[in-house]
Amino acid sequence: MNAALTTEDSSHTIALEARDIFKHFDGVHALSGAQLSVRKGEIHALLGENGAGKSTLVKVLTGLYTPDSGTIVQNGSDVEFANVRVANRAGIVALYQELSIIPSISVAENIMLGEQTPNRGGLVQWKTLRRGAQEQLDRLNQTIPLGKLAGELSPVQQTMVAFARALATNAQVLILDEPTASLTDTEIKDLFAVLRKLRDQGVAIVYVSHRLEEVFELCDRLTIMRNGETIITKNVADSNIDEVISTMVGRAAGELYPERGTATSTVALTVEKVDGRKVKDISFTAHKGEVLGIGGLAGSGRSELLRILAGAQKHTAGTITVGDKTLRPSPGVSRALEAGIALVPEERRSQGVILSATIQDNIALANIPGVSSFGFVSGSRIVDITRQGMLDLQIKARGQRQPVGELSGGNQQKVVLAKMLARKPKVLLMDEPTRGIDVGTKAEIYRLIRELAAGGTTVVAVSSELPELMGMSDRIIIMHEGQISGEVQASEATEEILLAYCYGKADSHVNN
Amino acid sequence: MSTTNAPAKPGRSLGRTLLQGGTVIALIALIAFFFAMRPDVFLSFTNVKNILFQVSILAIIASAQTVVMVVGDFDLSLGATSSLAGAVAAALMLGGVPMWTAISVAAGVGLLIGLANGFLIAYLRLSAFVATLATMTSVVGLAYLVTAGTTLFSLPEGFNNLGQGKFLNVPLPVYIAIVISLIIWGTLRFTTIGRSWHATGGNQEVARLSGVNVRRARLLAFTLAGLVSAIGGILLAARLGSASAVQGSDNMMFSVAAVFLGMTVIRSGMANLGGTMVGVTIIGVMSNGLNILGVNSYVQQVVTGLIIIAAVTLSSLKNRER
Amino acid sequence: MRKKFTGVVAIAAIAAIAAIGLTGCSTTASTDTASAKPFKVIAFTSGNQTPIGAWWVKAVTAEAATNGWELTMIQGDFDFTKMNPAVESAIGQGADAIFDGYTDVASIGSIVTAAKDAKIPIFAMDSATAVSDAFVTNITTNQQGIVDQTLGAISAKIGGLKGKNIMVIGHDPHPGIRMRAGLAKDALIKAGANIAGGDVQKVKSPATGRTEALALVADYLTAHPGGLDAVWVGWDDAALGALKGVTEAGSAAVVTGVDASSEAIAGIEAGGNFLATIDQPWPSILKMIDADLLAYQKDGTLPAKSFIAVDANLVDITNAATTTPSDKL
Repeated sequence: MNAALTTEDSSHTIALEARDIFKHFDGVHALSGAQLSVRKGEIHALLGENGAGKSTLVKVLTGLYTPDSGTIVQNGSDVEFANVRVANRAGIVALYQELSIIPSISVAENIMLGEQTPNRGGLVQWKTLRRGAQEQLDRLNQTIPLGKLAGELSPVQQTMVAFARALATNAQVLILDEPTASLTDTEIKDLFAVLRKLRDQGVAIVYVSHRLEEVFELCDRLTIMRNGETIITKNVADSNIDEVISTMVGRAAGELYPERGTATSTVALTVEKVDGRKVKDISFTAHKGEVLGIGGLAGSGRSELLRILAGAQKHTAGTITVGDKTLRPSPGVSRALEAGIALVPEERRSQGVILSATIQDNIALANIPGVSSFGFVSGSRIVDITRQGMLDLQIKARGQRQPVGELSGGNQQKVVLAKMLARKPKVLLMDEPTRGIDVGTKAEIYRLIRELAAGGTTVVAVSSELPELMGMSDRIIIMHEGQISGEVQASEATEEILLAYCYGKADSHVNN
Repeated sequence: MSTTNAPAKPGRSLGRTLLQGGTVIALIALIAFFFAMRPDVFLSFTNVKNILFQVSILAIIASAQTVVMVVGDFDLSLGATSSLAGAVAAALMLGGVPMWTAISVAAGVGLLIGLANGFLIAYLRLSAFVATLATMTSVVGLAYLVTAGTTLFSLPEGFNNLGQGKFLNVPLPVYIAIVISLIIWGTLRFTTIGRSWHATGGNQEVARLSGVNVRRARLLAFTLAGLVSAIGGILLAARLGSASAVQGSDNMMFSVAAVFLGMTVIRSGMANLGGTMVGVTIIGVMSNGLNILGVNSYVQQVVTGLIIIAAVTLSSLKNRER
Repeated sequence: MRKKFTGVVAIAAIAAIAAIGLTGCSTTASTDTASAKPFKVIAFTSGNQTPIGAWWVKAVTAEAATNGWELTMIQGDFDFTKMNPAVESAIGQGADAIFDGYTDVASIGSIVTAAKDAKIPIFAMDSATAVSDAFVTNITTNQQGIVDQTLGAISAKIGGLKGKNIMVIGHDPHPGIRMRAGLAKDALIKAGANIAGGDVQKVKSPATGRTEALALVADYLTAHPGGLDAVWVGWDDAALGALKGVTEAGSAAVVTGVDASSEAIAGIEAGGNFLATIDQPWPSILKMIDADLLAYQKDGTLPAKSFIAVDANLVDITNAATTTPSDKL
């Protein structure tokens, strides 16, 4: 971890300040007295658990929400941003967690969208547009073909395009919300280099992230929010991770990962020579009560392997056996569920839950056979399994009929889990089980995974965070370009070993 | 965000309640307005019966449209399918086929068209717009072929009675519309396939990963819609005592309008049968009330559009703040 | 497997489309004759989906075969953006004469211009309600005569028109119906009758004319019980809807239509509230234009009159049985 630059060299001019911001929705206070002061030429981390009010504050700063009270000061004078466009013109640009690219138009058009589109008398100046777009990509050291449709890019490249667009608007204050969520380590290094360059040019950067290691590597100062209030602002150099976590959670940071060691020697899942899209010749076994972690770089086929196991993607060869029952090839989700394999997918909002539907409806969704007879569903049985699930997983909500979209990320993830656990799976597949979840809930999820394992469930979990892989798993498999490149007991794993496997470098005889 | 641990909300403001119920309030306001204008006529038994009679067939076709829109698609061919079914039933009966056989065949034709739509959309992955626009075009052509471009009439007495007969002084189509919408309401709410439809419409990928057979759900939704709209069309033929190739064509747009109005009634903004019936009633009350007031039918059309915009705008205001 | 199957479906679809294209809407029925240069006629109608329009297409095709013309028949399906360019491109390929059937002069401005530029005369049938310089001749029915006859029948049945309540139902986009509905309204006001609703009641779409007319009459009778003595309707399909509205409300009001469709004639024969309709002599009008075209083909003689309004016949209970319905021509 690099020690962050101190802010002493910068002129300490305040670029943007939020004072005493209050904002409420439907009688619930999202912000009650939030403060933020960002200097020119600094990278300022904005931290807090999900629901602490970070996103609301960002939306107030960018004109998406109008605050109930409080003032925003830019370069020393009070400002009001009626909408996003006004804020953009004032040089305040936010890059949100949900990627805001338009898949159906070209990379160049995405970068030079809206007011950035050069035109003469309403006609788009294509040459100027391409030149402008290329300039931004060059600043990011990216070589993405300008004419390609943005939808055809990898998620990583899409992030870069969204980022290039933010740069194209000549932002004075740049607000980034989890910009590294889907980037690889190399790409993160590049991004950080660019951010540091921008900082040195005097741009103020607000960096919202759950990845504290990154914060301590990159940022100059940090502000921590809890329950809609600003708790503290201090120099990163004067703080440490444990202090940040305890301030965020409001209590001392406990042990994040529970004790291991519930694995038995009974084989629960046998995968033999499975081939499919992005997946080649995969064989492994997982045991009853075991937590098997699967790692690898983005695009290494981890998620595809889970989808094949769950019946959501076809496989062209090989067999999958649960207990002693071999599934038919490409069984489909419904048959895989019946055989006892359930998947908690990677993209919670687009694959895990129906945001507009209630908790009840979401949980009933995966359990239609269990709550119906003769084609008719039973309302009372749905109420029962929902109550059980909410109790077991301690889902915080107003009631069973609250739409899932209104819950925090952690509680949404618990609904996905509850939905699948109601099927009493023998094998639970989890793809990035804690993505976008605050620290407090992460610990709960890890504990839950361990409890499930202790109860005899086999958990196969994909994660792109190495500390998480090592902390939650009993055993770790690493994939590289669709194949298993290494396997190691979690107790013997180090980041170095895992990274080597991730890049397909190590010999595969270490620790088996 | 941040509404996570919200306690039960204390009394919401009157304004918010008004916005929430925008569409229902629009309906009540319409009824109150027409009643105030013609207290002697508008809410009389005869006129209420008239309104119900006039909207009964639209109600059936709008129920069919609701099913498809719950799944997140829409069906442009429903009006044409209903006309074709009416024409097929009429042509068969004029050719000497017994009434119930003719009705069954006609309903079967609707079912097959729905099945074709569903197959094109769910299995061959055409967009609903393209697929149903294309089938609509073909189906209208088929209806012209079946009727030879003319109006078929002199249908059997028993058949006409289905559309014109009365029970307890209320026309039969009113009962049929109520029964069909109740069945569809129950199917949407209480059956596994109904749940699958809601899930598919909510988020196809989530539904698929949860073990719902999304393709079959969409196929069945379109199939049911085809069958139900065919029943509507057969009833329209019985009601008019005749069948032409285009006689139900306005029901397609009105059915979509009714479902859209209905979507504003509930908080989640999804298509729902109760809301659709509110929408159908608004359309029926508008037309009948303005007729009673003697408003020019061109003006009526303008006003109907404006009312739809007003109701939908009013209801969308409630989501503005989020 | 899926791919293969999709392929099969795609091929089947293409084959089907091709088949439709071959048998489709605009048929070119050319007739070989001994003469080196046959007389070329472009005929078009937008109303081919109505029974009369369908008859016209058949009748003109038959005439062309008899006369040895090379006929290009364009059927517009009420879609002028499709029909007009098709006619214009046919004009571009050259023709001796153009024959317009039942298509309002207001909708074919571009065709008229193209024909004028190419110096090809347009002969028309029921295509305008007054003299128009677009056509060398336009033969239609006498709208005033139609109104006089139908109102005469109503007057005779209900004992004069003075002080009587009469609804007039029209449809403006159709020039003939628009004109006769206006004439009926004027005549009724002149005779001292009350126009129900104060003006002509307007049906929005001919496709749903029957349902719309039914609702208009039913709603009016609910608001004004017993408030109608007669309903004058501009065409039979809507008249049949109005008839239903009248009978269902138990009203004694009489209904008249125009067109002499078989359903209307059956209604008259049934002896209920359907009083009369109008039989427009299309076959004899077609014969007149046929003669004009033959004269022009022979030595370039243009018709003497550019507008002729032929009298139509009233169909009531006395002659319903002997009238050939317009959809059975």
